[in-house]
Formats: sequence, structure tokens, C-alpha cells
Amino acid sequence: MEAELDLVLRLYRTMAAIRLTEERLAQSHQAGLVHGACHTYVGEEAVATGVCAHLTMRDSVFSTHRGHGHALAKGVPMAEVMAELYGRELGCSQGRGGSMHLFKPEVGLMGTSGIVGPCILQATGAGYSSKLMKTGAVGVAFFGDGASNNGAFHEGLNLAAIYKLPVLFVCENNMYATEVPMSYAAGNTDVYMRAAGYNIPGIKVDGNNVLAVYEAAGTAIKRARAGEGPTLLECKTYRTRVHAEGMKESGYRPMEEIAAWKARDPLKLLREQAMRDEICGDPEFDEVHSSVAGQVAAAHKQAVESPYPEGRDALSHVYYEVQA
Amino acid sequence: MATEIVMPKLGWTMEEGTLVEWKKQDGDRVSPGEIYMLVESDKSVNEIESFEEGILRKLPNGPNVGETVKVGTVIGYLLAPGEKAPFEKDAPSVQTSSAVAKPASAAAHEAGHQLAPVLRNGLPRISPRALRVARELGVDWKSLTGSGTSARILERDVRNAHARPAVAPQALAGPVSQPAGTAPKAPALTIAAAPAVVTPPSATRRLIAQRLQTSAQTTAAVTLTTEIDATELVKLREVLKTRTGYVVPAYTDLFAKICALSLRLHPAINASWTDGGIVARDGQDIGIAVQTDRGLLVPVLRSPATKSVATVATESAALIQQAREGTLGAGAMQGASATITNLGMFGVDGFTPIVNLPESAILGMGRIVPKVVVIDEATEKTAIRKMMVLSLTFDHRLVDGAPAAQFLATIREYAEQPYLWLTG
Amino acid sequence: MKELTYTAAAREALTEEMARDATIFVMGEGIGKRGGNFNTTAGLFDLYGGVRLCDTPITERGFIGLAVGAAMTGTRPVIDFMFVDFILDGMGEIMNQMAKMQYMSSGRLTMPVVLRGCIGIGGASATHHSGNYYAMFANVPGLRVVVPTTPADAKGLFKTALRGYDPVLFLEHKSLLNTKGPVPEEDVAIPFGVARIAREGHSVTVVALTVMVNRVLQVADTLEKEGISVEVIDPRTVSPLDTDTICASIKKTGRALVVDEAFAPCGIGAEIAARVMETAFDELDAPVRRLNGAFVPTPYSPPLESVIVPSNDAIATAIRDLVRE
Repeated sequence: MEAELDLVLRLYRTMAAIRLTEERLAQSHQAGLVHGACHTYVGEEAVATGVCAHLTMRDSVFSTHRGHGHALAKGVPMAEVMAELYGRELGCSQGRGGSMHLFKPEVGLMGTSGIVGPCILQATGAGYSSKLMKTGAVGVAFFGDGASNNGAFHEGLNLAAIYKLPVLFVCENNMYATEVPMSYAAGNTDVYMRAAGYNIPGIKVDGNNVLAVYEAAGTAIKRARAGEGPTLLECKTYRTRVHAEGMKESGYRPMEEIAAWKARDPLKLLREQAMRDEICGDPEFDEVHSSVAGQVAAAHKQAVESPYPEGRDALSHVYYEVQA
Repeated sequence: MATEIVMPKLGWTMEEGTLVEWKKQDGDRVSPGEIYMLVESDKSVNEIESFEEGILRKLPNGPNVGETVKVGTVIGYLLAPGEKAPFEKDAPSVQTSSAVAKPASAAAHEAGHQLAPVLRNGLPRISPRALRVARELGVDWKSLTGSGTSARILERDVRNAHARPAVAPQALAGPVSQPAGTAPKAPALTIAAAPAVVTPPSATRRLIAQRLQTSAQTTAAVTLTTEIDATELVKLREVLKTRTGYVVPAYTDLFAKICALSLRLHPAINASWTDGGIVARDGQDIGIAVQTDRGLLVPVLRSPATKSVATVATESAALIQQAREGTLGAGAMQGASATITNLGMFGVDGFTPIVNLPESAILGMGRIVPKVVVIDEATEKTAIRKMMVLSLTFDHRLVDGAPAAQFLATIREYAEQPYLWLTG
Repeated sequence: MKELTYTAAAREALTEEMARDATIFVMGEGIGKRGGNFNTTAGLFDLYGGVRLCDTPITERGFIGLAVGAAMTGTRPVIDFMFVDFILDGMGEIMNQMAKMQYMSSGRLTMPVVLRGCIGIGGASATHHSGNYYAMFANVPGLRVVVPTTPADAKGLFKTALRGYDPVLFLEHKSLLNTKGPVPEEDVAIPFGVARIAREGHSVTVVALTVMVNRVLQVADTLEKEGISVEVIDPRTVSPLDTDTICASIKKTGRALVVDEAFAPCGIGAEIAARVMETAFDELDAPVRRLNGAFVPTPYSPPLESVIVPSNDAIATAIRDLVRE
């Protein structure tokens, strides 16, 4: 078992990596380095961090349009994430995807997606592969409250339930699907309660408390690896930046609400708890923070220096190509 | 011609634009790729680059800088040096720039729905394939008529015309032959019937015409036809084709050899009718009719009866190439006993070749087609065999029908059973 | 050679490949113990068990999406749709996910999924069990679309689908399922993109798809007696589409007709006609003609149903007209 101090600093390091990368990307978006959309994960870092801390490279993650955090937590290098948004050769999808199509199957990041819902089904499929080939690998789907109202949610959870597949469904309930409140879009805003309909465990957790997410995810993944079937984990959280960079707060959510969630910043919460529990203090966190800041700066430089792909690269891999 | 400069459409939803700045002034020269003005649409300012070369003239009553106009509004012109702008007096008409041109798809749509007339631009309609074949064969298709329900000139119409030069005055092929059943027409009549243009014939054409007319008028030409079984010849070629290192002879080569061998057995045919009397010939050289760009040429294969098939094939290939390249000497086209002419590749069966004087016989080869034939009448046994029509024209002044028929029978026998001579 | 029905030939390919490759599994409604509505998996449950013969709820989008995830993680799903009409509920998963996955991952992920089921008009199946969707799928980069006509082709092409790495639509016309034909004893995998010359001829080229191949062959025998020699080409796969073989035939005949039960607008015939014009324009002695099923949903009552499909008479007339043109 990992010592508590090591775990806390490891989780903090991942969250800081996501936070500082996202802030760098927001800045790059304003500078015109990002050519298309840019959906940041600021405020939700604890979810990807707490879940992915349990995963190995053989486990697969299927993510959403807000997927930079999942990619980084799953082990995609920062420079490859940034370079992808900058449209460069170094990008983890070699410039084919941008913000919403990050692929790094080598580390088990099986794709972020521009369509809401399919990741739930694909994670179920990863669970089926695991069951058929008896690999012990787990499929993880990250999705928002918006996806929980989509048919894929029902179909995926039901299939995983009846076949008892090793899958973890992580709902990041940040209360808004773009700008549509969950309270408007769902008859019951507690997504975890829907698990009962499939006869699988449904767990609600504070998505801004990384240790709470870590613990809940650990239980669910242990269950999955033991062949006991899927779990629905609902993480209540909040994105503190706009839906997509370049948009404005148009008044769909109260400023007080944003301020209240900013005060519950997951990085800050972890620091406070560690100090309360006398595990470590600001100097340790600050040291991690500045080391990550250095990595982010270096990764940005590497991404910007990477060349653009050649135009002819747009035509390959439509179909399977025999590898040379 | 003056080219309009209009307020460009820079996006699907753009309806109007603001002239932000002229980067070139009235009277400046503008080259392709140069930025000549800035236009604001929606939220962005766009540099407008010229696709053409010309001298910029702004419309005197056009928009001022900062003014917004509808997409497509004329705001100036690009002129050739010395040309007057349309707003000046005596200026010529305006070429509309591509930005406001009528969509090409609309024009194509209208054209596609026109009911197709037989004539188009005063010319008959022709299929792409027929047009290609007409170009390959040098057939003047403009005077032809389509034979199908579409009234479009078809490949077969061109090929028929090619095999029948009297109908198509500029057609080059087959001057030694007339399709069976078609009476020869005098050249004068044809020219009179031609629709519009009278073209003077080339020197070669004139020579061919003169020689054929002489032959047609002086010989007592009779044509015998017979259908033979060419299966063994076909097999022979098929087998050779599958082996490497073997020369595959053309059918013409095989018949040149067969014809020469047959002449040995029928010396009466191997002679010429002259005013002084019948002149017998010693050897058996065979002419082969070759279609070239300049007209029909007949190079002569020397003594094919005494040479291997491979040698005959090699020599004939060289002769045909020289004929087509125009490097054939006059001597190479003289001294034959008889000539072979092949129209089989054009789908012709029987025809009436014209004797190439001073020879006394010409053998016409038809196409080879699979047919069901009776093998044994008693047992009602049939088989699919590769059949071919041979047309032998001979000079009746020299020999009678029976010996000529016997000569053709020998040719038939050798063609049907090539072992008789291949082993000899 | 042995004589097998179309379905038995395809089932033989599946049985053999499942024995060869443990990553292959089948999903669909009633494909487990029941053996498939059309006996596509009869006997396989006993051989390979319930994980590899996975019966599903009626949740097409769900199991198509599941198949995508499974293929991304190293297994080879075969989805048996029974009727391909049911696939439409999962089109987003096919077009946005399955078809694009290899491209978006720059070839680091493969997508070996076979989507099979029956297509076609016949048997008063009415409009939700009669669609021909191959032209629609052929319009999607990343998908392979296979439309076999003979039992031998069904087996050989199914093998290629099960050994490849691309998503394949394997579409079986319902009127062909019980037709019999010779199937080689040997292990033959037929490559995609190679048309079959079903009959040689020299007067006119007729390209026919799926069940129409058999109709055209019948008509060709009649026309032979009239002196019209019909060359019949079965493309076998419409993506990739082998237009080289079609153009080579047109070089011989100068004329081409496409006979297809599916709709004409934006269909395979339109694609063939366009490609012929691009590469063999100078070989055409007449315009490329099309004979298609009517552009309507499929009606139920037999006299209504039969009138929307090209009949033998209509095919014969179209060929005669084209040859005379």
C-alpha cells in the first residue's frame, strides 16, 4: 500500500498537471495557437485524477469532448496534448483530431469524442473484450450529466449489467449540458439512482474531493476486476471556466454559484485536508506545483516547435494499412 | 475586355460587405495574387486578392471607403492597357467576373435537358467510341448516318464506312476491296454526292485510284468465296502465345505461307496476262495489303513457301513497320504472284477484293467467328468451330473457274490442316 | 466442390474462422441457442458457448457501440442483425465511430467488425424488413461493403471479412439465402474489390448486383437465342468497387447497363456510370443505362411489391433497347 504522503502528492501532481495545462491551453487559444474548439476541465480535475490513479495501461479510458484531463491522467504526455490542439505533428492524434479527438491507445486512452454518448458503449465493449479474453482489464467511460439523458447511457449500462462486464461508468455531473441545467433536463438530477434500474451499484461522491473519488473508484474497480460487474459512479462537480474557450458567461448560471464552486477548488481542498490530517503542508505542495509549472512551460515550447503535418498525411489510414 | 470588380461573397451567410481600404489606387496596375482591397464581413477584415492582371479603375459613383454595399455590387473594373472603362464613352461590353457569373451547374442542367437533335452544331451526333475509332481509322464521320435507334453514329457505322471508301470519300482503308454485295461506285459520283467540301486527293490516293480503276476496268474479275474451319490455325497461335521464346505469326503471315505453297501446286494461277501473251512466274512472292496513314501499301514477302513461319512473321512485321514509317522502297512493293488482304479485324466476312495488277489473284481474309457446325450428319453430332470466310478474286482472262476453285480448295485444305505443311 | 446453400456456405466460413481465431464473437438477437432467425449460427452455440455466441436485447445502438469498443480492445465482433433495416438505429455509432476510428487514431487502432444481415425486397416483408442500404454505406469512407451473390462468394468473402481489420457490411439478399451452388472444399478467401465475370459475352455489358445477377443470367440465356451476347459482371463488393473489370468489358462491348434492385438516385449505378465516363468515355457507343427498383418505400401486397423490382421482362427490354441504340 502506497504511503499516504506519496499518494497525496501523486494525486496533487496529476491535478496540477491538468490545471496548468488547461490554463496554458486557454492562453494559447487566446493567442490563436489553438485552431478549433477548446473545452477545458478546470474545476473537475479531481474526477479524472481519482479514477485514473487506479488504472494500468491495459485498462482503457473512453472520454468526452471535455477530455484533456482524462488524457493527461491516463498518461498522455502534456506536450502531445498541447501539440494536438495546436494542430502539430507531435500531437497525440498527429493533428487529425484537436481538442475533441485525443487518441493514445498505447497508454489506454482510446479516444475523446465529439459525440455525447458513444464512450459509454465503447467502454462496455472493452469490458466485453476483457471478459472474452479473460485479461482482467477494465473499461472506463467518463461522461457528463448531459450523456446520462441519452439512449446510449441506458443501453450501455443495461448491456454491461446483464453480461456482468468489468466496466466503470463515471458520470461527471457538472450540472450543465453546455448551458442547459440538469434540473431542467432530467426528471431526477441524481444520476447514481438510475443504477437501481439495472440492478448495479450506484455511488454518489463529492467530485471535488480527490480522496473521496479515489476511494469510491477503487472499490468499483476492485469489484470489476473480481468479475462482479459494472458500477455507476456519479461525481458531483463543476466546471469553473466557460463551456468552450472564447465563449462568455451568458447568464445561464449565477455568478455566486461559480464563486462558491471556485472556493471549493479541488487542489485547494486537497491541500486543506492534508494539512488538517497533518500529512504535509504548503511547502511540499508548492514544490510539486512549481515543478509541474516547469514541465508545462517546457511542453508548450516543445509543442509550438513541432512542425505542422504534411498535407498528404490527410489521406492515409482510412482503411487498414499493412505496417511496414 | 473589362473585368468587373464586385463586392465578394466571403462566406455562406455573407450578404453585404464594407469597403475598408483600397490597397491600389485608380490607374494602378494589379497583378494576379496582389491584394488590392480590404473588405469587412461579419466580424473580420479580409484581404482581397486579384485573380487577374489589369489596370484598376474605380467606379466614379461606387462606394466610398467605409461604405457597405450588397454582395455582387460592381465597385470597379480591371482593364487592359489603353482600354476604356465601361463608364467612359465608347467602351465595349463587359466580361462578367466569375464571382457573379451564372452558376455553371445551372447551364449544364439546361443543356442536359435539351431534346437531342440528330444534328448538333450542323454536325450529326456520334458516340464517343465511334468518334475515337473514326479518328484512329481516319474516317470522315461528318457525312455518315447513325444506324441505331438513337440516330447517333456508332462504331459499326464508322467501321462499315472504313471498309467502303466509296461512301466516305476521305476513308483510307480497303481500296482493293468492296464488301460483298455492294456494287462499286465511280469516284466522280461520290464527290458529287458529298455534302459540302471537295478535298483534292493526295498523290498516293490518286495513284491508288488510278491503279484500282485500271484493274477494275481491264481484268475479268471473278470472286469465289468459301467458309473454312480455322480452328487449327487458332489453336496454333494460342499454343505459341502461351510459350515464351516463340514468335506468334499473324493470320496474314500464315495465309501468305499457305498461299505461296498452294501456288506451287497451281502454276496456272502464278502468271500475268499481258498484251504480248501469258507470262508465267518462277517464284511465289506474296504481297500483303497494309493500311497506312498515307493510304494502302502492298509490300512483298519474298518466297514465304521456303521459309519457316517464324521467319515469315519476322519479315512481315519489319515490312509492315517500314510501310507505316514510309521507309519502304519501291522495289519492296513489286514482283508478287498474289496478294493477301485481311478485313477480318473489322468484322467483315466475305468481300470482293480487287486484283493488284499485274498479279492475277488476291485472297481476302474474313473474320474468325465461333459457330456451331455439323461434324457428323448421321449421328447429328455438332461442335463449335472457329469459322472463317475466304474470298478469292482471280482474273478470268487467265484461268477458268474450275482451276481457280481448285487453287482455293488447296488453300482451304492447308488452312484446315496445317500439319500438312508445317511438317513438310 | 460441394453443393451448399448460401446461408450454409456463409455459416461454414464463420464456423471455420471461429475455430481458427478465438477473438471472434457473434452478437445479435436470437443468434445463441436459437441459431439465428435465418439459421446463420445454427449449431455454433454448442461449439463455442454463450460468451462467443452472445444473445442480445433489442438494443441495436447499444451493441453496435459495444462492438466498436470491443474491436478497439483486441477482439473481433460479428453482429448479426437478422434484417439490416435494424441497423439504422445505430448509424451514428457506425458512421461517426466505427468508420472513423482507424483514421482518427492514425491506424493505431483497428476496427475488425463484421455487420451482417439480410437485405432486399421479397416475400411480402414490407418496408421495415426490405431495405437495400449498400449505396448509403458505400458513401462512407472507412467502411467495406460486400454484397455476395453465390454461395461460393458468400463463403470466400465472409472469410476475407473475418480476417481483415476494417469494418465490413456483409449484406445477404433474402432471396439468395436458400439458393444452392458449388462451394470449394479448400480454404478460399476472396479478396475485396475484384468483380466476378458471371457470364462472358460481346454485345453488351450488364453489371448486376446481388439477386439481380441471377435474373440477368436467366435473361441472357434467352437473348443469346436472339443473337444478343450479354456479358454479366457481378462486382461482389461495392466498396471497394472494381470498375477496372467493368471498363475492360465495355472496351469489348461499347455498351453498359446497370441492373440494381436498390434505388437509382446517388446509387451504385450512378457511381459506375460516372466512373465509366471518367475512364472509358471513348469506349462508349451508347450512354450507360440504369435499371433500378422504384424510388419508394417497399409496399407489402405482392402485386405492389413485385412492380417496384426490375422484372425479367424489364431487364430483357432494357438490354434489347440498349443494343439497338
